[in-house]
Amino acid sequence: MRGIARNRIFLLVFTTLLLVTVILLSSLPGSPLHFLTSPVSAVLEPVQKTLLGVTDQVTGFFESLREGMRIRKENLALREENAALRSQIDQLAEAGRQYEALKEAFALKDQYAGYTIVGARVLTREIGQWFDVFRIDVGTADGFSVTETRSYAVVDAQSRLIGRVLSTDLVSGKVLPLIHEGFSVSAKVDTPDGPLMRLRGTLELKDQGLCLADQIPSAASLMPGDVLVTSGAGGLFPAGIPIGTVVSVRTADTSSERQAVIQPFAGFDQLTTVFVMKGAQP
Amino acid sequence: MTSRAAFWRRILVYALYIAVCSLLQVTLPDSVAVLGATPDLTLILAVLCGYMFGSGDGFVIGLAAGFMRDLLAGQTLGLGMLLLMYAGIASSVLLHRFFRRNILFGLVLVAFFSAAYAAALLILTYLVPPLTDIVYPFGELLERLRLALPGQVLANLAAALPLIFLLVFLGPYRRSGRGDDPDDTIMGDSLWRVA
Repeated sequence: MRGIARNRIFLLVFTTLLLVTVILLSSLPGSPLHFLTSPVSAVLEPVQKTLLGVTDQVTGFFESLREGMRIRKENLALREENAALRSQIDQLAEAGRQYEALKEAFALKDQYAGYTIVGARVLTREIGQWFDVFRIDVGTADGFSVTETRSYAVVDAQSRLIGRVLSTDLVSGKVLPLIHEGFSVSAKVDTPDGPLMRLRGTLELKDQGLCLADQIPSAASLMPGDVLVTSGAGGLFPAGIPIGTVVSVRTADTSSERQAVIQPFAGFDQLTTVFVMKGAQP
Repeated sequence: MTSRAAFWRRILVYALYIAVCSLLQVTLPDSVAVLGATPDLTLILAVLCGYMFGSGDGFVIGLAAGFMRDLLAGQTLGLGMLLLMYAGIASSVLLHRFFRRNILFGLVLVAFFSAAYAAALLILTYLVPPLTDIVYPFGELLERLRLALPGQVLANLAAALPLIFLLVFLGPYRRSGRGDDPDDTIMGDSLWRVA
């Protein structure tokens, strides 16, 4: 009996030490340990996509019932608007042709010309503190490999910042959302020579879907309504990705430094598809 | 049922429960939330398996459910495994040793471990802040815990009740097949009281 108890304690201590080692190693950016999950991810991916599809259909069915009446009214208004827009399309098509000609003439580059944009489906949602990243269906097989110095910006369909890729295995990747307390990015006010600052997630604001800007230069002017974009400093994110608007400016509790509460443009509740920006390899 | 068949039944049933619970947990929409919280199915599964079927099962199911948790939503590998492994083992040791196993104490354990798990994460966040230059005041973390805990406990209890019945009636063991468990020699009870 005493032998069994000793064995159990030994097993427990051994497993604990092993897991602590795994935690430490896997917390290193680009850790090869993340590839241990590849076989399970490969098996789970089709199951998850099927489950997501079923969930979407069930949710969609109930939502469609709820929204039916509203959509009918909206549809009438949209039909009228559609007629007006059709005429505008012709005008815009002509404007587009002129723009392309001008762009070529002035050698104007696209804002993110050096980046490849890859669409990805959101597979899982966050499930609480320390387990609050979400998974997407792109991984190293799609050419995304996270290292200590390389990660990828994740944006929504309107190119608004969602977060960054935290780790990848063969078929999936984990995304750290920008409202997460572990996320930080260099940001600037979207004006010519706008002041640089740091934008990060906080525990306090995360539940409200907000984040915080700090390290604001003392002479900088920052007002509610100002728009923040990525500054491009650090090289991880391209410059100019819209982040959010300033909701309020306050003084930090522990110092006289100013902080700003930011409402991100991107919504995180109903996120189903995101886009990963892959820059040219260094 | 032969011991070989019983073994495979355990493996298959546990694999199914772990896969379904972990996938459901990361797929459930917010519309099923109770006071803003969705049930922590992997934690509940580890706790109930430990309580109902002993420390060996609690240990293995905690590890496996924790692995799925880390895989699907974890920032690192291993943290979920470590936490759920201890939850599984601790739940087999607590009320299991002093009371006959029944639903009420199963629910008490789920509520207790929901709180203990949240407290463990709070301490972890305080000791290992995600950004090294940011200090999270303990009071702020405690306030967050106070606001989130009632919903989490209620959501977990709501999910635990059907899961207990599933584990009893469609579980890894036949209802009278737990006589060989070394844990049970302590209590001399191999049956689960449903009522």
